[in-house]
Amino acid sequence: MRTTYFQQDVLLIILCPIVGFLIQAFLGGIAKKKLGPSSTRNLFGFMAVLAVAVPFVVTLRVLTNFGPVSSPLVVPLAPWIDLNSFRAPFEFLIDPLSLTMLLVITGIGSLIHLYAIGYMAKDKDFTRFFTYMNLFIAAMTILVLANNLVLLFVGWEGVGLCSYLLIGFWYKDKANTIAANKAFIVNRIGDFGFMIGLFLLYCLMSSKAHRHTRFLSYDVLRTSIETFHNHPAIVTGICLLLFVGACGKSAQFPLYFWLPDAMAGPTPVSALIHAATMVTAGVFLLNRLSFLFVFSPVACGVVAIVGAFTALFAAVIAFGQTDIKKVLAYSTVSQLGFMFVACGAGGFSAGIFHVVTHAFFKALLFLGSGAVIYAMAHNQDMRNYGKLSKYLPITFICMLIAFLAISGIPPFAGFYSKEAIIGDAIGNQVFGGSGINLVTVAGYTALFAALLTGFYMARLTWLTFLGKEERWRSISTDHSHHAEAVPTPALEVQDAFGFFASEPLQLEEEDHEELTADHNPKEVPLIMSLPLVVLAIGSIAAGFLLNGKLVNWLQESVQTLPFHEVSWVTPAGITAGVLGILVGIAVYFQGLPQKEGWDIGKWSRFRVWAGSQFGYDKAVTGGACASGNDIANFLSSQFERWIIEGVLGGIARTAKRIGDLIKTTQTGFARLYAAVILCGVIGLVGWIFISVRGGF
Amino acid sequence: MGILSILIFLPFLGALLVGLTPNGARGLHRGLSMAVSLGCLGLSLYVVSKFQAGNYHFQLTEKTNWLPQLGISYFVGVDGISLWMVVLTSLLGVIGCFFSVYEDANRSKAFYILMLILLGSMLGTFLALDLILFYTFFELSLLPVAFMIWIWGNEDKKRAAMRYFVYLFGGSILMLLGMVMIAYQFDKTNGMVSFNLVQIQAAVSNGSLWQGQCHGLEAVIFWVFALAFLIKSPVFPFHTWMVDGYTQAPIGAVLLGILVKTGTFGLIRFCLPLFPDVVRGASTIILSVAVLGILYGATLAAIQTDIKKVIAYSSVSHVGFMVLGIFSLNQNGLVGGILGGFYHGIASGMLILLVHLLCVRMKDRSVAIFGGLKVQMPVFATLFLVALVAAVGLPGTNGFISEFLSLIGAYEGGYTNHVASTFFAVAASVGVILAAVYMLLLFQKLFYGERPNSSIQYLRDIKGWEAIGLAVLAILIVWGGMAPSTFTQAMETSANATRMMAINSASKRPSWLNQEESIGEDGSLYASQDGVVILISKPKYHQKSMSAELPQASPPGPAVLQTGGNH
Amino acid sequence: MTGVPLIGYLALSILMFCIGAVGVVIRRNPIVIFMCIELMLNAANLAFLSFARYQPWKPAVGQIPTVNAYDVRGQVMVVFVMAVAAAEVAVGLGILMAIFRLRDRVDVDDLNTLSG
Repeated sequence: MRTTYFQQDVLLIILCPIVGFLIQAFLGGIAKKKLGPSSTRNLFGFMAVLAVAVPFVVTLRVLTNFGPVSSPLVVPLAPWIDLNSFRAPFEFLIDPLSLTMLLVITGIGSLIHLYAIGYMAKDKDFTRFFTYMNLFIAAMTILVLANNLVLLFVGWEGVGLCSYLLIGFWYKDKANTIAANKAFIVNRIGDFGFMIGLFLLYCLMSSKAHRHTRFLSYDVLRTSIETFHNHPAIVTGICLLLFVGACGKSAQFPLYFWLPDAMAGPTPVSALIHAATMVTAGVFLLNRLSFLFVFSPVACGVVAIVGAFTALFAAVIAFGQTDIKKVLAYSTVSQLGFMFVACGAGGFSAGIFHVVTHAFFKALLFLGSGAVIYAMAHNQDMRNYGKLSKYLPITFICMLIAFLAISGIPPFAGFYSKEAIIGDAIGNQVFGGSGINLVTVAGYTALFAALLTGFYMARLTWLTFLGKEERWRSISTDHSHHAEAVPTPALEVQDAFGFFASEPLQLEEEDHEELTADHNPKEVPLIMSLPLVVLAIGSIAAGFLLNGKLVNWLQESVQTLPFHEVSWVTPAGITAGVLGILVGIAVYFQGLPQKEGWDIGKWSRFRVWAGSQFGYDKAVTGGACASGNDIANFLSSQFERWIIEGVLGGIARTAKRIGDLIKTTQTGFARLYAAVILCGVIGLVGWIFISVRGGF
Repeated sequence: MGILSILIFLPFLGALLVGLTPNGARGLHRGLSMAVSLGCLGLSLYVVSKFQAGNYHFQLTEKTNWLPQLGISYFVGVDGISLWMVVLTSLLGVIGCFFSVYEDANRSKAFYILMLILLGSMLGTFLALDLILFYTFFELSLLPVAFMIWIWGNEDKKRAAMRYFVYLFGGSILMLLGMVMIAYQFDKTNGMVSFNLVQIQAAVSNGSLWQGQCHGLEAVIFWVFALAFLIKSPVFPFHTWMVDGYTQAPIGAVLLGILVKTGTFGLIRFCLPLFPDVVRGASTIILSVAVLGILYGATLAAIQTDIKKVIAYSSVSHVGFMVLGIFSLNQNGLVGGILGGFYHGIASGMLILLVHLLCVRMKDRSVAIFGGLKVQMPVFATLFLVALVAAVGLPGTNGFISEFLSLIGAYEGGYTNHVASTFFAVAASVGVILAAVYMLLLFQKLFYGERPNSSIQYLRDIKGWEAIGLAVLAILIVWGGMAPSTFTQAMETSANATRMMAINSASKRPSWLNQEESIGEDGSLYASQDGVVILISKPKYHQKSMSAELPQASPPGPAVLQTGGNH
Repeated sequence: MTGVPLIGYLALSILMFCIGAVGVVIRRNPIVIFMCIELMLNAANLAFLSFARYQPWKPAVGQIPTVNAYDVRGQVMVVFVMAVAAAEVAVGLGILMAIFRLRDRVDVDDLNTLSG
């Protein structure tokens, strides 16, 4: 009864964005021709928002029906992979964790969709943008609702695909498409770990005779605690491998380097996918499998240390950035690190708490930066900004709130979640005792990273909105528009089938705005500022409204390890945040300091080094590309050519040589043939006489 | 004449009809062959509707004597493994005829005749249950493609056609010898010469065919079969003919894509059930070759400058996944392998078709001349994206299901040791990463970036009818990913039976014999009609083989040994 | 029927065959070679006939013995051989004519275009 009721709701939640996606995909182009760009924009933009808003409302309804204390509920829908040896049906899990994530995805998702209507208004591929965005929401809901890991993987890869498509949305710029490829391929490396982990888990489960063949469903996994208890080594392996997957998706240290490049996509994409939702999928995964991770202190320690290192590492890199979105990207990487510290400390739900608050303030930061970029003619360099608070008051106030939230200043949202994380980590009992251990070290590192967070965010805020001068006023306008490509003259092709048009397809002219000295930034339209305000309210309220309550509620679906309270964490956290901000203000109060001017060559070597990710990205990406190319070229030009073709050619040549040898007996001298035949006959007759008759 | 015979011979009849039409009537040739292949598709769907899932025996069988003196019969039937391959063949036959418009300008009659012969012989290959009949169709299917490459191919067509034919023919000629050896062995142990797959497998299943001492012979015949099928599949290092074939072939390359599926099909149909004592030991070797192929194909695909070669090498990689699944000898892997044949036929068929349409337009296959196509060919780009995600194995598309099952099967392992199977699965998973690399690179180079300043600027999007044809495949890709049970339902029982034939010990193996025939413990064959049991054949060397197989069971007295020696 | 013994016919047959064989090997004119081949065939025919004539005849079971009931299988073979020889000559001479028209000269040693 209850299940069928939820079945409809789940179906609605998943199908709404899918239907939205199909409408955008199939009707978008037609509508643009029939209705004209402006009404298409209104209609399809509205429909795109609707496709996300309806699931939000439905989720709220599910939430009220679900009640605050209900146990997790599995909603089976249809069979999918359906073998006797292994089943992975379309089944969905409704529990506090999935509902929390759903609310974040659909709630913040609809705000960002709304914002995007304004942001993308001038883009000619408006409907294509919302096609991908709706598909993304669909994949993301599948990811969080799935009740088995294979179905989760559908969403997992689906969001990866959408991320790929959206990063490369402005595909004419080759750099964007390279960033897209990088994002997808690095995520694939993570998925490699994920899949191996999945196989290992599968083998562990299938080797124990289970009633169900739904080996990878959470409800089945959760009833196999005994198995996990008996195989700690395998469980550690599984956890670490799955964590590799999480590292890829959530941009953690060895695999983080795709995320900064992913900023090539439109800003709403950065806000939705690369800050609020998709990148938190790794944290979500760890939460989903928290019952597995609690069996493996080693895996927890690794998670915490990797998270803490990433938090620190990315925070340091953020100093070297001049692009406003890049700063936010590294900030996201850093904040995700915090979430993993929480997971590693066994406080999984604190991680989710931070996911929620982070979704608010980071989405806000991105949308705010989007508003700035929008106002500044798509120029993203912070060194061109300054004193923008005068022109963009609403954006400024919202950004200020987000800034305080991310820096962990009470009573803003980030304070509560960050404090919970650091408290969990420092007071952890992952390894049993309460002394200094890996996770504690991670906790202290995170505390330091919190200080740096305040610092680089202060830098961003002061460079963009405050300071004393409007630095774009001093831009010299000597850019010359690059010449339009001249189409080749009429072409002489044999075109029997009508493949070619008589005229080259005219590219629609896109307005190339340039930031010039006389540019006057304008505040964004209401459709864009409204989401900012709502998110700002969220960034203020989410913390103290949810503090404690969310974590308690999540108890039902997320297993946590106990920890002991550390009383000094709250003051220490506040101190770190405030200290960071104060240092930031001290340095950037005036605006752009001389030693951090336009010429990066004059920057301190450390900052340049940090700005280039300490050479990590270059080494890894460049190294992988170069060596991959070398190997492939070697195989192609040497192995394939000489060994495989060589052996083949050798066989062919040998056959020919034998043929040549035998050929020489064919003299063409007919009488010789006759003589040979005669000899043969005589020999044969002789042989018959000797062998059959026994002699003449 | 039953439904399967009609299905097989309809294309041949069609070829005859096309042959009777006047030379210049292109439209007539095309319409006729289109109608015939549509008829085949309809018939094969009818076969699907007639097929009963959950039964691993051959269904809709038809048997007629062909050369009874030599034990050769015309024997066809369908089971869960061949069922969807038949549908796929007919479907791609339709698609092939549909898209031949750009090829048939020159000698259209010959083109469609060859096309239909190819279609018929491939259907025959999938449905034949007699070794010689199978071999006939298997080799017959080589000829049309060879001629197609020879006549309508690209710049290097003659060499490619020659290599294609000699390579494949040379690869499978030994198989014929193997078949004769099996029949001879069957004569020795079961009392008559027979090329009947069901009878031979029955003799294998109760252990009377390969009796202990024949392991050497069994191994030789297994490798002869395996070699033929691995070359046809083609698995690294036998892939060079396919790379040539893909690049040189005309639209028939679509059918080449399905032609190679007869290789993996043969592995499942013959190598697993007939040589159970060898398969387990050989699986490690074949698995390592498969894994090498996965990585090798994927690596080379990444740097090709010829679009069709990218697809060709990606196929090498994908075939590796199938073979990996098949020879992991467990349920998941085997279903993954069988499904892989079907799914890859669709996905790679679509991919090669898309690429072909592009090459037909520009008359050039090098990646370098393209760029920024997405602006002017949005529909094409979208369809390409669908095929691409299937090739990459993204969940939600059919590529994922088969790859995932194959990999999970490989990881589970069967008869390789655990470390090896783990290693194979891990190494094969690297292929999944590489798949993303080469496909995305291709997509980027073709569709993204600035538009080059060349005749590409004049290129239009694909036409409506082309888009419809491709959309059918795209729908199948998504369908296969979302509702794989449509296809796995029929496969599963057959796959399981095949697996048990391959890995169980003698007498615990299932056999394909139905109620009308049975096999005794000594290897005698019986047929029962209307309740009367008739002895068909009785082993001639029964005494000898039994004593050799069970030396402990009957203590060998000197007398027994002497009689054994005299034979 | 008396007089010449079987061995006499056979000796003649062997002589004819040897002459024919040697002729085929040593002569270069195709016409002569044809004649030699005919000689060999006729040698074989002679052997067939003489064996047939000198064969001791036994009636089969149930067959009524009559005076004219010879075993004629040898004679039948001769008819076949003659037919084959005629056909061979017809085709061979045709080919020769063609070659002569082409080359104005026929010598088997010149006809070596099929050499390896």
